[in-house]
Amino acid sequence: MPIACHMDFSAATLQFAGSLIAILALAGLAYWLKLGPPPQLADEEDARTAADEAVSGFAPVAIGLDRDGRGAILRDAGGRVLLLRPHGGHFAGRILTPQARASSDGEALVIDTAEKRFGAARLVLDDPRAWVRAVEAIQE
Amino acid sequence: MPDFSPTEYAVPGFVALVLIEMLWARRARRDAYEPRDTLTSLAFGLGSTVSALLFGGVFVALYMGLWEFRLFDVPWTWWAFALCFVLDDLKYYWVHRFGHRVRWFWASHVNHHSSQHYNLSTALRQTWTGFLTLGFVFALPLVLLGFHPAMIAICGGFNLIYQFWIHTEAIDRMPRWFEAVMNTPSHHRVHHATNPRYLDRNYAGVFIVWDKLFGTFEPEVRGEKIRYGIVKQLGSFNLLWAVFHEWIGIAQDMWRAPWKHKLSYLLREPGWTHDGSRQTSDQIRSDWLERTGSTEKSVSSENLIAGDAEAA
Repeated sequence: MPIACHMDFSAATLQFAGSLIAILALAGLAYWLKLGPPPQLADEEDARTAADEAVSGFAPVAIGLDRDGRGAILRDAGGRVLLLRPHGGHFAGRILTPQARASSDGEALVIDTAEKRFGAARLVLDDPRAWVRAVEAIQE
Repeated sequence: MPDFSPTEYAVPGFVALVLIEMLWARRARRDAYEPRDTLTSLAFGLGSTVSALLFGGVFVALYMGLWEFRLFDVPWTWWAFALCFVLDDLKYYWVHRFGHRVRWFWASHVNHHSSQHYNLSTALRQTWTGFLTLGFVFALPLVLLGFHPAMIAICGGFNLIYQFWIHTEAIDRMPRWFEAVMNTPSHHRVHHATNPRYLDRNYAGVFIVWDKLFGTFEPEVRGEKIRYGIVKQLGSFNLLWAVFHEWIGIAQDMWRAPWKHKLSYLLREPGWTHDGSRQTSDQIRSDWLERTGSTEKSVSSENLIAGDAEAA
């Protein structure tokens, strides 16, 4: 809702600067209080729940769970592949498109979603090469 | 014309309550806040005041011009304020409902919903681009009736202040009588949820009775974990992306779509596509109902008259 304000420019600038300091202080306080612990997927059941939260009705038939619970990659019966990665205190998910790229680095799976703002993820899990193949098999 | 903005006076109270809620989170729910999310939400709030400063004058001038053609001379009395407050809240319900059901409006309002957290800082997560929508049109009937634009602005300010405190998980339920009439943390948690059962429900500002009247009320179900945010979570704390992502999405969809479908990407509900490649909230709920066998308690948002929504 627009809030009509009538003030001169210098007062507005001062108010802006004061507000900026206040919001930085509040965010700093949240950091200092150690709020927002990193999210973790304890097991495959957690990953299923998080997948359904990210994409309603997503029913995985294969789950690659990061060993530290810092994300997961899941495939459903239709061949859709869902990446879950931490975003702040929660997980965010994306159904990977044919533009996504995956590679293995030892026991790590590196996935670039090809979505600039969502970015990439690195998961340490069993058989990363199988997941590379699953990502390469994604079609429109 | 009185120059009084209640929200300006409320800002110290907003800051104090955010502080208190953070201390509560430290003790009871550390996951209720996340520093980068908090910073993004508060930056939204600061930017929205700048946007209002830059563009608000246009709407004030429009309202004042139109007020010259008013049907009645509504006096500056307590009962006129009370009537204005109620009618302004009804107006808010419909602006808000359009904000969720028309993608053009949603492109602006999505800013308020894009946090995956639900706390008092989320309340301050206000849009920068409201002036790009037709939300101002909904106030025109009040102006034409004869309510002075300043009176409408003051009532709108108090409406906004009321809505601040309901953005919290620290309060479970209010007394039964209060839940029945007023918008509450419980009702508004439903509104911010992306659980299929809760999508596009509880549009109320102050009085939850509008949702009950127009068939969009959904009570919070105990034991069902709420997931907050938007159907496709941003996955980024980039402020400018958070502000403009839906506008960019609309532009991209309209550019790519066949000519006969272009306008639909602006005017139809969020999630609508001409090729069915994405889902609307109604489709998500419908699929969920089919999968789970749940029965819908309240009527669909297409039904404008009362449904069988249960009382709080």
